[in-house]
Amino acid sequence: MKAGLIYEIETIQPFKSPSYEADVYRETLEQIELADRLGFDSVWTVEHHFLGEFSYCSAPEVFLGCVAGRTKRIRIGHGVVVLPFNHPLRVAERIGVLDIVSNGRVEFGTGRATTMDEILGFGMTPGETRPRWAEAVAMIPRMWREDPFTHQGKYWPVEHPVSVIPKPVQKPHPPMWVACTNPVTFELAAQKGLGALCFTLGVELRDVAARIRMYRDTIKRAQPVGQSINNQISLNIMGVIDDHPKKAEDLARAAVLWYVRKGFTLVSSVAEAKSKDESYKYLNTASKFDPQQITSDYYGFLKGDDLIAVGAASEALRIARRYREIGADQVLFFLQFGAIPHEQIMRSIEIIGEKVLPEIQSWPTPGGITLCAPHPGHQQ
Amino acid sequence: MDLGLQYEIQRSRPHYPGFMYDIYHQATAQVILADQLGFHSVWTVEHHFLNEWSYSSAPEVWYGALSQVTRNIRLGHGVSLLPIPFNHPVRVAERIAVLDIMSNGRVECGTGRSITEQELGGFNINPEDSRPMWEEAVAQIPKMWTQEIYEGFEGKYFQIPPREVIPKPIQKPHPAMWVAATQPSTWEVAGHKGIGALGFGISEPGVIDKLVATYKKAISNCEPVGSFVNDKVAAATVCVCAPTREEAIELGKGAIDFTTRKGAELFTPFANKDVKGYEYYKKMAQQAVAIGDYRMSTESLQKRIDSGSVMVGDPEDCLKVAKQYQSAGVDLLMALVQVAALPHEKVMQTIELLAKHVMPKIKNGASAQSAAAGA
Repeated sequence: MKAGLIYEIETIQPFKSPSYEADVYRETLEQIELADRLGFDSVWTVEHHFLGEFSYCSAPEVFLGCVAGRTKRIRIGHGVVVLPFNHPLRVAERIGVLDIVSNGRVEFGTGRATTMDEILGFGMTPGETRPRWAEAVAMIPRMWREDPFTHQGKYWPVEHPVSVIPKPVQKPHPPMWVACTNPVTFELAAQKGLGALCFTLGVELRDVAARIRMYRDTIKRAQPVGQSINNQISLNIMGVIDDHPKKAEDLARAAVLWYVRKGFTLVSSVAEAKSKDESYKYLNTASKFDPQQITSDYYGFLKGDDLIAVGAASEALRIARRYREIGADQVLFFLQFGAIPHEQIMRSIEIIGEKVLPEIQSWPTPGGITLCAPHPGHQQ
Repeated sequence: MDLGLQYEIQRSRPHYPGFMYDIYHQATAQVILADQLGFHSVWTVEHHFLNEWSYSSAPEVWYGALSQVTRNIRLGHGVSLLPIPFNHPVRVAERIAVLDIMSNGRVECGTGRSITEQELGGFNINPEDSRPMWEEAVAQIPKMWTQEIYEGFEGKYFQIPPREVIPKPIQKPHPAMWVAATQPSTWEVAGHKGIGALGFGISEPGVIDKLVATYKKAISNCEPVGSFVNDKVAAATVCVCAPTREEAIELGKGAIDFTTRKGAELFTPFANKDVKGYEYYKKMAQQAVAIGDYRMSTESLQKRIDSGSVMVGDPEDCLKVAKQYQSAGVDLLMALVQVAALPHEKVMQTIELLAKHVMPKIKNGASAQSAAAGA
């Protein structure tokens, strides 16, 4: 099994100093550099806009370029590029350049946005995010294999033939993924032959397991958008790891609750919006939560149901093993959240790298990448 | 005058498998060397689809990597295309801010609107909209950096409610802003808006003086789009420097041929059309088409070196050209060193020779006036 890190790049108000924003960015890169040295397989960052505190990672294409410049081996993942907000031609170009400057280390995750602040901020409606994603996710791998490229579509017609350059160095192209929370997206991921990056914090493991089974079953009949089928499941493990479990626990409780309150408030905005779209209905669950009602009980639920890893190295290993049991191919440790200090994140990475990683990486995985011809339905 | 580098990330045919990878990694090595040798800045275009001419379609990504392998050299977008289908203004503001943080405040924000039909057409942009699109964006981006909660905008080409655009750049009040200026009217616009002028496509001596005068006149009475006036003029020129003029001619002939021919070819789509805002390029394209064969004889290249219109030659020849720009009032000379199919070692040679023989003689203190006085 593979193990990596995932980042939102969070900053908590009030800012500790005028340079706090910049410090968090630099510290994040330091953490990734350490993870690269310790042999973590990958690092992933989100793309979020306008979400003060929750995520400062608004330009991952630049930040991941920095990661490429600073690291040697670690794979570099977009987790994810929000396709409705970026012209697909620009996305294909950026992935091409990032793959070149990183020596072929790119993992290309895609998504569609889940907060009203972002959707309305870019002048869109909730109803158009999924069709925009679907159009773009089929266009981009075509840009890498068809030269000249043209496209007849609803959102991004390309009538003049163009040559999309430079091409990625990984052949046939970097592995493609999509952010999955609700069951419909798992199914879409499988149908299109995309890996599933699960953002399922708070979903009980038996439900996640059911979605994974459905994904594995559906992907057998995939109609891939690209030239490979990325039959892989990636699960996030939020956590704080320390040699002293009590210390980890003390730090984690407040930070986890902060994150969950903030996250639920943000995503519930879509569910509550008047103009909401059927495809966001799954977020109704989140909207039912009053953020203030998310108390220590909720922390207890996350911990008790093995949805977070808080404690010593053994705890990180135990949770990873649980995720393996339900069918994960990859786990991504989510360690920078709430007000967890940089030194603690470095310590968590160090402990996981030294004591947990070797065992995780020795486990065989159920999924993998297979080469294929793209489905004729995705040809122009 | 400062000395910088300008990149298209170019490779003329014939191509071989893996050449795109090679030119990126070579260009990276060249910039690392330039950083060590004290060059002021590196500037990179954003071009799309222009095979041979430019493989720099996502400079924001390359710059992320460069920010981590260099220490002092400034990173200039030369330029970021602002018409919204290329780049949403919010995305530009965000990217510049992240790069500014990661580079410790080394970013210069150059902007532009695109001048080829391939690019505008590929992104479905009506050429007549490109300048008003640029104008909307260039005025909003500084506000996104300086207002804690950006006030929002109701424009013709983009609308946005108030939003917290984050992160903020670390240069205060914000990174310097520039615009790519080829035609005289853009030099005037640059002045009016209080932003720097990045002169491209000006190779004839004497022309630059008039453009600088136009700019200076406009900026003396400007309404700045940013929080400060960036009264700066930069000019780009192809540069091949070698220990001897003979070697430079041998190397430079093909490079000058290619940039002239290919450059003309890229503008020709506008040669037979009347497109508002691109009349200047129509004229330019017609002239280029009239030339027909761009191959330059060795004698004519010699003549152009003697007149100082191309920065090709031995270090003395190159210094002479640099001084012409300096006395014309140029603050920053951007040398296009990686052109056509020049071998990597020869590009490295140009960078080394410029650093050794040209840079020290045009450095600060040697301003336009004092250079003129000394002449």
